[in-house]
Amino acid sequence: MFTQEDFKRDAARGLKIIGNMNTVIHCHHYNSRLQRTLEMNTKIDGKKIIKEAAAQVYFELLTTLKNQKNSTDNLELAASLFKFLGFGILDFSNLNEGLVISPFSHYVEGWQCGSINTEGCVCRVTEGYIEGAVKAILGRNISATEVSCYNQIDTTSCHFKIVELVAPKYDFNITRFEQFSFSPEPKEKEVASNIDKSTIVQTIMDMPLEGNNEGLIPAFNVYLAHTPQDFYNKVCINFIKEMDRFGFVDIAKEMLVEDAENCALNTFAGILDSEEWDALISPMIKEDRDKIFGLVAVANALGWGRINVKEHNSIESLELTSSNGYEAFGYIELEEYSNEPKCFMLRGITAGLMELVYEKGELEDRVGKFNSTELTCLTQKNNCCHFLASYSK
Amino acid sequence: MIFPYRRKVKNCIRKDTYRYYFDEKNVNKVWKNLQDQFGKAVQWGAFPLFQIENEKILIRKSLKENSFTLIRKSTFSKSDEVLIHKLIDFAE
Repeated sequence: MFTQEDFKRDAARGLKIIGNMNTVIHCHHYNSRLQRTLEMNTKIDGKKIIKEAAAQVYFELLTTLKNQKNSTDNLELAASLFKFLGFGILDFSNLNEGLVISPFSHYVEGWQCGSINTEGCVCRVTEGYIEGAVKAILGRNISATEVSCYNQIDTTSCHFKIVELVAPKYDFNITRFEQFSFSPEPKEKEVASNIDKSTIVQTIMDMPLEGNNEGLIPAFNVYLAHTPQDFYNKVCINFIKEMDRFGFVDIAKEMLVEDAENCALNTFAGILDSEEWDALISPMIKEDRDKIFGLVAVANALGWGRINVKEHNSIESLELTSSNGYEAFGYIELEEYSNEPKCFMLRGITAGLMELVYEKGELEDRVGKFNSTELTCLTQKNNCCHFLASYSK
Repeated sequence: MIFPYRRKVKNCIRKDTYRYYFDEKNVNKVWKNLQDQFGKAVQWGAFPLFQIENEKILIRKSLKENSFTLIRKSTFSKSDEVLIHKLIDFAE
């Protein structure tokens, strides 16, 4: 039902749009780590924040796609989109008996890979997706709760219990009536390197990144998934607001930075060691610093916006700029302007890139070797977001 | 370096994802054996990267490298690994 043609690609701005929403590509490491940051925090109800954001965003996306595709009222559209975006497989055939089954899950893969194991049910985004999908396509108010998860021992698929509700659990609204677009035009220039950035960005944007028979997207040695940027922005903004209620706002921001720093280390380490890197980017690498430029080029193809290397003359510092980062634009859309920077993901990425390329040893031991700051931000009415990572002496 | 050998890929798709390395002179033969068993490799994306895929496995190979990466899907079993090792004449 979905093909690559459903994505409207804008390589100049680094955007990949479907159903009026820009989608962002992150991997299973980052997605599960971000979820853990919210859910393992006992001060707030992180599960609710994630589930609500997923329900609202996928309600809106599927409502738009249902109209664009003139789809009839069946859930094949929702199952097809779930698979296409790389989240796994969803079987709605027992919905009326109160059950939805998922035999494959991007999030379970994330929780099972690396050092964030849990024995619990982890498919919070899927719960929200099911609730939003059923509301968008059938107009029914339901609650979806995962009662068993293949993240658990001796369990081979995820089961979601469906309960009909009299009234909707959340506010379900359509906010994007037109195709999403960033403005202004990106103007920042990148310093010279041996990397042909535009070729890399265009090639990756044109790659057939869509779910396979397991509904997963194995690429660059990680599992990728396309997620509307609105989801990440709602999750992160609401997380910080909730933490602020308990006086932990600064800790919350640093947690989000650290998630991204780990993302850069794990995801980009996987990318550097991948067949895809060897085929496309490795032939351009002449010196170590080119790896930074190559990885930034890859980041430009992930829907994060347009990112440039502003300065990188020493192995001790890196400056990046972004003229349309999804965090800043999301913040302005949802909360308007601010007097402080808001791009925690890109800030963490800036440090993680340096730790990956220039530090030695186990990846987990490299976290914190570089300090990162966001010097200026679009949310402060500056013309770009400006990040600095410098060696922590 | 003694070929063939394999190493575990860090930060991988799934645990037990390996990259296999071969002597240059054997690469074409190995790649042919895999295609004879699992079907013709197809180019993935607009750059020199090829893949063989079925319900159980995904094998990716950069055209110029003397290696490939074997990605195991959920139904991959020990017997599948034995078969692949036989095809590529690999033993540990």
